[in-house]
Amino acid sequence: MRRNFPMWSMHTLGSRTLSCVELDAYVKKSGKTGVGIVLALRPVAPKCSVELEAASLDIGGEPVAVSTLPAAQEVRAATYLYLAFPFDNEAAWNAGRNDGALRLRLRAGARSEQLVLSMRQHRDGSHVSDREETAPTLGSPAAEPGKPPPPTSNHEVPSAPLQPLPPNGSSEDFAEPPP
Amino acid sequence: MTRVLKAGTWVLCLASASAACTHTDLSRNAPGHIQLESPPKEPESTAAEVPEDPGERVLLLSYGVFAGGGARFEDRDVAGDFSVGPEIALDLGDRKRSHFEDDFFVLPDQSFGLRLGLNVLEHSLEPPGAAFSEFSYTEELFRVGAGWAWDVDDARHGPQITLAAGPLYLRASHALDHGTSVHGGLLIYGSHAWIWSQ
Repeated sequence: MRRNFPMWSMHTLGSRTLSCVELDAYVKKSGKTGVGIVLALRPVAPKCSVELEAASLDIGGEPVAVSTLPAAQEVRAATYLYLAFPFDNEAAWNAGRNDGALRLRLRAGARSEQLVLSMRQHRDGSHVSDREETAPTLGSPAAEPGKPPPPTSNHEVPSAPLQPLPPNGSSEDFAEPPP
Repeated sequence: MTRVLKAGTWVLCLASASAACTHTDLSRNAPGHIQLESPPKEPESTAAEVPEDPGERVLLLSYGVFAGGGARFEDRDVAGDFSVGPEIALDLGDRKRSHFEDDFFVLPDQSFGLRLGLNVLEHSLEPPGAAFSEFSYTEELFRVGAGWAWDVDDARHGPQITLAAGPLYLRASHALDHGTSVHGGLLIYGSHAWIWSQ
């Protein structure tokens, strides 16, 4: 039973199609100095221009800017954009500021959309089994019939569709994710 | 008073014999270390990377009984001596590796502490004997402590040093103008640790 760590995770995890690209987002790193998030982009059209116009976190009401905003690019194959959000997460954890949101403004092809993804930092107990557990990668084959699905990480959250803001909507319009 | 102290010492002896090493995990500073700015190793995997272990801080309350024998040197005379008494200690230290929940002992790698004790039963003097306090430094199972001892009813006091390895100790006390005693013996401890992340 090794030590367990609190981790940020997305309330709303899953992929959605935005114009010519399929988008997914998940927390890849979570620690004392901040959170690292991966945006997975997979083209659904032969040619797709994607630009991340803005990305920020809201941690307990405190805004956190992305360290570096990736440049616009043509997405021809699966592409993974890494977004680092540096902040004092140790202080946030100690203060109980464990609810947050990821705010993205993404342009794919001719379409621009704003997304708000709810996030939460949690820890299930101070220790966890030190048995290595693996999580499926994007595009990994589904479990064979009659066999159990592959194990998932302790920090995995059940998939649910991303919740986009309505056109011209604001973050205040965004409903809480389903329980 | 003396009978009460004797009875208390025997109660502590029995309690220490059945003492356990317990601990409480606190949630403070719980997030781990990450290399935030470096790209993830497997970006296609939706599983989060496990952070690096930052280590732990440990506040350790120890309680128990020492019992030892040795010699007392006074005015060129040497006499056999023994001592039994309770001792409590509070140590603050750290661990490089966070403990596993099923570790048998959860002790700091190194720590600084304050120890208080009382020689309740002594061979050469009327009980109660000297009370003492020591500041100590502990690394793994080895400890060195230095402090002062006071025997109020016999109007004696002086410096004291203790070396310990696990449950074994060697202690020298010098009562100013009254000679020196050297004891070796056994420490039987129970403890409770409060543990949080570095």
